[in-house]
Amino acid sequence: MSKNNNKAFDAKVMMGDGTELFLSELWKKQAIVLVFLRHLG
Amino acid sequence: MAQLRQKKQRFDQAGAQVVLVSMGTPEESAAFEMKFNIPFPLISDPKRQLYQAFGLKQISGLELISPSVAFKGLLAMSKGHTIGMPVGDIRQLSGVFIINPDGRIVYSHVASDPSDHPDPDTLLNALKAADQDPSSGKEPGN
Repeated sequence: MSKNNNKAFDAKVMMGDGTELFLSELWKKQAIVLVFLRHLG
Repeated sequence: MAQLRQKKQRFDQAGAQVVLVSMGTPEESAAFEMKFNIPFPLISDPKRQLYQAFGLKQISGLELISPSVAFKGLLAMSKGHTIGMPVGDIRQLSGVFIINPDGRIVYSHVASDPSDHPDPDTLLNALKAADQDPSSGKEPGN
């Protein structure tokens, strides 16, 4: 674990339902726990 | 995933939203969401742009089949982690980042092997610590 206080990368992303938004829109209202998966299921 | 689902209410209470990122196509991601009734938003990143931007590692094929990785995998399964269908580049490792509303990363975990996952309580503790951090610009508990 590291705590770095760096600004998070932001870019337009595609949600599973096909909608596009900027990643930053997800953290504007509340903290997010961004979990990168290796597999589905 | 199962552990995150079980602790969803505690993440809600901590004022945080769990967001998943997969290497699946939007179609694969949608099928996954529907099949498992996933209670979290899911980002589809088949080109692994986010994986790379957040500095997540890849391991070699040899590392992937090494006895130590197999042992760690069995150990992780004994703790309740399951093995799902690989999607995308199987050498790609996972990671977890907590990002505050001001866009700062307040916790990061970059996996060192396929079985390396922080448990949900570790993430909840990190959320609590970030909430009490004066540099967060937030009043503790808000």
